[in-house]
Amino acid sequence: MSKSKKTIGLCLVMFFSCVGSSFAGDTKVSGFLRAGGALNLGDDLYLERIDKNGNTGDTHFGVNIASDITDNMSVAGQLWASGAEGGAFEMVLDWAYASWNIGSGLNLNGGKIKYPNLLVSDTIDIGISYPWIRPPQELYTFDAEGGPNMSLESFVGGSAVYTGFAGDLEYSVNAYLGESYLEGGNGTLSKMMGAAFDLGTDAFKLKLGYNMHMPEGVAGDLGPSEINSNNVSTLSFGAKINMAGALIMSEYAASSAADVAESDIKALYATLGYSIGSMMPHFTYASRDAEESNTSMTFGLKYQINPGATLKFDFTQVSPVAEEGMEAEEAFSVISAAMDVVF
Amino acid sequence: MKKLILLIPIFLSIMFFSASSLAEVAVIVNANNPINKLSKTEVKRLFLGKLKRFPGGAKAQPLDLRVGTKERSTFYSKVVRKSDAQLKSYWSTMIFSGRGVPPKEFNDVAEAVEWVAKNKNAIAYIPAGAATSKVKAVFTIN
Repeated sequence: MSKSKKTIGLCLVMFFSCVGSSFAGDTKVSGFLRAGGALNLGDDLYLERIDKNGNTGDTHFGVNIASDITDNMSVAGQLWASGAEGGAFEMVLDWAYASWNIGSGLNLNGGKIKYPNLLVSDTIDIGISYPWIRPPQELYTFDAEGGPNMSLESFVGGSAVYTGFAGDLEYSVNAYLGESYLEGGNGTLSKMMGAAFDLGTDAFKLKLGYNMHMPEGVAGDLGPSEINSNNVSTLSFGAKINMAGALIMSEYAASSAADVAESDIKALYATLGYSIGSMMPHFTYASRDAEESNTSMTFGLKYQINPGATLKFDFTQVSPVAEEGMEAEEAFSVISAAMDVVF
Repeated sequence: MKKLILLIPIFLSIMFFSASSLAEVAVIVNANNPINKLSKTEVKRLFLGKLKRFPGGAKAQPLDLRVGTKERSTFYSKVVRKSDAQLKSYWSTMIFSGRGVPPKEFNDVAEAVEWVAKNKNAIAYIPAGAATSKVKAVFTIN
């Protein structure tokens, strides 16, 4: 990243800090930081960046500003800088949107909006809100080979969110449309529309999501991806139970591109954790059934340093699944550590 | 017997006063707010930002006391049923997805009572005995 970009990022942070302190009554500035690193004990490259020499690409920083414009309108946005792209820490607009409450639990949103369809997709950068260092990558990652994307960062467009209550139950329906720009200029997911349905109480949450879009300009391994100009659809279902110290989370998602043979992806994971004082040991099994399939097992420990900070250790063993008639690649292990802080 | 009958109102007054002072924390609104009573669930949803408006439709502005105060601990453990860490995690998911921000925080009770007395949409929790004539209790925690 150029020096000027770094300066712009720094100025934006300073600007937001000034705005926050000047209009503290209506405007709130918050932020988060992760200091993280990982080491691959095998010879392969994991997530295109973690090798046997170690990698600190999990480190990132974000600053958020939220302001009430009137009684029924608010604006919020977030800047984010990550070390994942070779330690560049280029500050980008993660999301920013205006929300208009038109009454009776209905909000209309417009701008760059966080993707809502998976259990942790809209708080994926906020490590203190989930047990792992990274959510299971079988489901929460982009397809590097130009295949369908099961999880997205955000989209530019509009959404209508209705929230209601039925006794102790809270439910919401989020319908949206727009388009999403892939990282590194690797294409656009246009004509996007979808919906997420949430139902739950403090102790449990169910989530159902559906997304449809048309990729354009997406690059594959050998030239343009076959999924370009095809309708890609993803159906996802998630459940979370958090009670009496126990945590159970599980999600399943299936993506496919119309008219493209072998583009189907199915992924799932199941996590079990249990809080013992400030500690939460947890175990996750994840599986991805695609052109390149794998399973993984993660043993982790989350330690709550204080209400706003956690320390985490994950040990993940990734086992590639052999393609038909081929020999499976060797399994490898990744050790990760991270400290997450929100302020 | 006549004396005994005269003592009954005094006895009842003492009983009523004792019951009121037993309430550790009271949730208060401005005296001009049309709301006279809120349920525990409504109070909880208002302070978690799940309900943005009072039952009558007016925008609600919840106020917090600073972390570490006895009233805050009582309120969040008995009404919201969340620890400090759970609350921080909850508000992190709200803030960093743009869904809401936590209540405005006050350092002491007198400041919070004064704010509620001046703002028709404000709602706060305070020690039960700290209410003034410009605010009214809509929920109490014993």
